[in-house]
Amino acid sequence: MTAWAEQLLRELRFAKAEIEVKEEYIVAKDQYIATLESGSDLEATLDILRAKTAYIESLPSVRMKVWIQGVQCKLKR
Amino acid sequence: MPAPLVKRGVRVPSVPVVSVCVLVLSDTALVTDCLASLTTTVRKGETEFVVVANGTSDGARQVLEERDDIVLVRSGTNLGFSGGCNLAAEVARGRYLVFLNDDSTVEAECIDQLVVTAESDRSLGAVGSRILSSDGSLQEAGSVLWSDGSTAHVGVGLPAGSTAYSYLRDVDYASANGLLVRREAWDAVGGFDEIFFPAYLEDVDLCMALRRHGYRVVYQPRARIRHLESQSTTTSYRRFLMQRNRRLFAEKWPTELIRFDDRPREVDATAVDRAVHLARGSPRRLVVAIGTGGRAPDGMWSVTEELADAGWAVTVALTPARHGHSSHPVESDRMGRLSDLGVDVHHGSVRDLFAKSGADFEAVVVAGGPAGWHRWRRWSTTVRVRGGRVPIVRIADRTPEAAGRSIVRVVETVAQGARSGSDFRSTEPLSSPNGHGGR
Repeated sequence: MTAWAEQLLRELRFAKAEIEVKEEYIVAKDQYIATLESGSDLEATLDILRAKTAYIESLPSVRMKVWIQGVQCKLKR
Repeated sequence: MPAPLVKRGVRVPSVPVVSVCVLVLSDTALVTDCLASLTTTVRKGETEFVVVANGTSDGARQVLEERDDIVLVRSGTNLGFSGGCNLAAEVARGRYLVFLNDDSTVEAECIDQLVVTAESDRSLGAVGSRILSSDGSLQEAGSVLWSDGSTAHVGVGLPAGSTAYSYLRDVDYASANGLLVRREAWDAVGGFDEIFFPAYLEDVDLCMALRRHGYRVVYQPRARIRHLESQSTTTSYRRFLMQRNRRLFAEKWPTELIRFDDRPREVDATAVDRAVHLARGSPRRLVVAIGTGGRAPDGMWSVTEELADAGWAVTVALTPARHGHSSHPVESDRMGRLSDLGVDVHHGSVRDLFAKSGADFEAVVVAGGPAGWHRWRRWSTTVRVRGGRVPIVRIADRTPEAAGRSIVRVVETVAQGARSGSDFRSTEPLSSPNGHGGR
């Protein structure tokens, strides 16, 4: 096989690969849109946010700050 | 009549040592800068530049067609990173291949440093570079891999001028930008796997394949490149490709990935430090604390090199100058030698170092004596770190000739004593001419 023919076959192989990857990308995008529409993704995001909030609130420095603010409020009264 | 597939310029050396392979998609202005940096820094007659016009339009390719100092390879379609590099390697004649992005420039001696490193040890299959952003901040000092196939660049985001991670070491992988691959190693693994079309994870896969064939992959900080990181695709498509190729990668290497750490919830400095250490084969670690309290630390440098030679992963802690004492600048020759020995030179507080990974150190070697290391630790035998205590080995006023004579044995005895829980005060430290070395 000549170098030209080899190169053409190589280019054809990668052109097909590009189409396949782009098709996969379209499928992935469609799935993502479907997930957004169903709202399940929003629930998952809210769960993550709740977990992060709980973690932040459990930090000693945050708890200390809350306690200090509570004391300050009492003193003002 | 179409242009030939390969056009070899008349000024290209016929028997090069190194072939620098660069892919071009559309913007030939970038590759012009890239080639300009190469031509001014490489050894003439030893390096060829193989440029693959990877689906580049005829008009854009014209500027490359006119050059007589490159090997131009033409592809009508975009072969992706793997396919393009494989095509470049097919026509490359050097015994070392260096893959470089077209939006990157090399700094002085970059290619030389990669080659010298590769020539120092035939077991090295690939050597990666220190990658800086255009503003000088660190983009990558080698990279780590987690068991789920995800990755992290070591040192990413550190400010310009940072000397962190400036030591030669084994890595999980190094990005294929400024990456040297030994020709025989490349042939053994069959180049980049083209399933990772069009891009991402092919370099991680290559490094895994090299290790499977018994080759090591190292990072050489003295080889430095600047990466503009121009983006030719959308963020969404890039993210999709990363996820897709990570899945393909994880499916390809299920057994090998088990030995890597699980990705932590937060990839912080401590997690990266641990992964870096694991990639080095988890050698025993110690700190050589060199204070700036006025004493010449020459003996300590010999000690450092001796310990590194003996297989210890040494971190030198250069504490900042205080109390009016002048600091000891480290000469570039010495820095180079230490770097090649895998010695990490930490500029800053020992406390910070310990806070990050203190429990992993097995000993602290200090220049003892009244003007030596920290006064707050002058007569202690251990130093408290996160997760426990680390024994101190004290060395006082060692001359360069005397230094290192038995330091390895002493340190190993002390570390072993600490591990077994015995009283390490009973171990014999190095003798000291002025009597300050004992505990």
